[in-house]
Amino acid sequence: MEEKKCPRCGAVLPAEATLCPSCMARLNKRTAIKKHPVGIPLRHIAAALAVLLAAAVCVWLAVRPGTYDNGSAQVSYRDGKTNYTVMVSFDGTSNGVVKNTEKRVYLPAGDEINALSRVYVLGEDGSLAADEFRGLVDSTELALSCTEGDETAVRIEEWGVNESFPDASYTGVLNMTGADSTQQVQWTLHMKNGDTIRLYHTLYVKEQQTVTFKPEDTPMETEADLAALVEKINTEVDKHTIAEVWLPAGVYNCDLAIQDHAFNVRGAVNADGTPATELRGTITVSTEGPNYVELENLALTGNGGNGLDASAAMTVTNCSFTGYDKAIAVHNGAFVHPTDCTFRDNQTALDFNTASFHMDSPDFTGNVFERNGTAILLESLPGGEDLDLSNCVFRENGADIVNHSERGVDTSGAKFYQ
Amino acid sequence: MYDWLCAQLETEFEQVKLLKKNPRGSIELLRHRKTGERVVCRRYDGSDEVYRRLLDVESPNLPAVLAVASRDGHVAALEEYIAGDTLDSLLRGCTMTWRETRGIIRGVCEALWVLHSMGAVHRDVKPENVLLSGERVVLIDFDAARLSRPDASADTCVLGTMGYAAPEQFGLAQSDARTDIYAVGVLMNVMLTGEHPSKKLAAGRCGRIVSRCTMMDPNRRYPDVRHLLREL
Repeated sequence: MEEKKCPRCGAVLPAEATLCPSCMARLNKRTAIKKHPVGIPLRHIAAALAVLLAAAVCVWLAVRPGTYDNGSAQVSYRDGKTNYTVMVSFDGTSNGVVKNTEKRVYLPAGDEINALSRVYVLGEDGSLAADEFRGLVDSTELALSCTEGDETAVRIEEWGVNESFPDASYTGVLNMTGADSTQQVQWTLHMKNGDTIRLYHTLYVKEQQTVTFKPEDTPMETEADLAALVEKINTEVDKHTIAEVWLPAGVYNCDLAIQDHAFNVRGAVNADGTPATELRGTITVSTEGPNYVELENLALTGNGGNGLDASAAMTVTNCSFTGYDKAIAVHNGAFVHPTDCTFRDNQTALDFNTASFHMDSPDFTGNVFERNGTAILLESLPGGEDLDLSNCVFRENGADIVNHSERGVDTSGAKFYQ
Repeated sequence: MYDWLCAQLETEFEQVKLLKKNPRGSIELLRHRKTGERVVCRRYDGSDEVYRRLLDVESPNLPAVLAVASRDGHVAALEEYIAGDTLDSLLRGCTMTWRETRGIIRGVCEALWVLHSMGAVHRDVKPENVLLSGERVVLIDFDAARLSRPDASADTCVLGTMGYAAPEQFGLAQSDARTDIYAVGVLMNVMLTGEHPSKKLAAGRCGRIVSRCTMMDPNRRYPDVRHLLREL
């Protein structure tokens, strides 16, 4: 007798078995039979057709399919007795709608990024009516029209119903490259009753510029030089331009605040690759730049307090933190993504207490945590992907990972020493 | 396969109740030992061909058939247990309104449409084989059912229930879908009047539908359940 295995419990069964007696799993494919549509006698059909035809002509004359198109991002639409507000937006929130008829994106040459065009529908009471409205729609179209610049700079990746954005009736993914371009995004909704709704909003893509400050062309040897450079960036550099500051090897006895204009700070390195630029103080980052803020090759040394006080999205690479109450404190709205960093002799090395943010990366690899009171404290950190601690080393910490959040942590690639 | 299924029924299930037993077979209510799920096990002597076909379909008007096996004319069939009352128990000492009758008969016709579509004839439509579970009307018991064979001259054995069995089920002709329509007509009349149509025919339009269902000549009955559903 030929055999097979139950896909649910693995029990060995005859090949022709349709039920697993061990776990009651149904093994055969069944065809659901729908109710049989009942026909109508011909004489009834003929009479009904005549009446219907007359009625249909009257109804059609009264409610001919209409086109709702005022050239804007929002229309009022009436279906039967229900009024809807239909709009398109590039942004939204978890608890409502942010109306945004245009979006400006600044991208470094060669980079690409996606924007999400969303169709939101509000019912008469102002509440979201995504599902209800989708029931009235027969099909959708999404199209781009280049009004200026490179017409190939933006392309439509896909559009339709996106389960990740349940508040939106439909979403469209627009892929952008760095070339300058202005694109009109047009949604067309074909309703089941024959109506057509058209909505428009505009996407501006600009190539992002970068300005670099290096020791050989900008004074930055002293704390006063560094303060003057920050002031220069704040006042003279366009806010959509990325500023890169390359600090020389040496010691700065000061704090550094990145507040008005976001910029990246990169230190020098020793022959062994460790940071050669030391900052004895606190770096505070509290501004959203055109991109996230990047810190690299910096040795932060403190005597209590916070080493990095973050209220923005940022990356921290090959930095060391020593002697702080909190080496990195991540506040609400922020996300910090440390890799290849060293945390020694801090009360708490990484403290996440954030409920929402615009950037998320699970890559926390290559970090060393030594002799900290608590290495990683996750007070609040949402997100679906487990934090990846591959190649991280935990040694002689009071507590390695204290996780009060919903975020998972993958320690399979980490090493722990007492 | 038959031996295997019988062995599994012994080891994986326990009997809750013996629902019915007669010379042709038995019906047991079983409980799965691990999951507690209840199922109905039918063992009888005859053909398993209709149960086998029902393995692949899912209809609200038919019980889900979970497993079937046979050997030397002995059949074991495992099907979904549906908690409810048979129409027979509800009809004791009373009749139903046209509205109630129509709803139930429609459910029976939907079940028959599935069977007839696969070339099967139930051949034992009667109140005991109509189960009511909430809004669900379910036609059960396919022990007497068989595939219709137009080339055969007459049924080879008498099956069905006296009163509900059509004339052709007594050897006059080969049974087909119209055989079930006869039984539906009788069933409808019993629900409305409590009597066989030969004794007391339902009044008015209902009576005309019953009459057409129960014509002696199958060719004068509704040709299929679609037509009957349309009249209902």
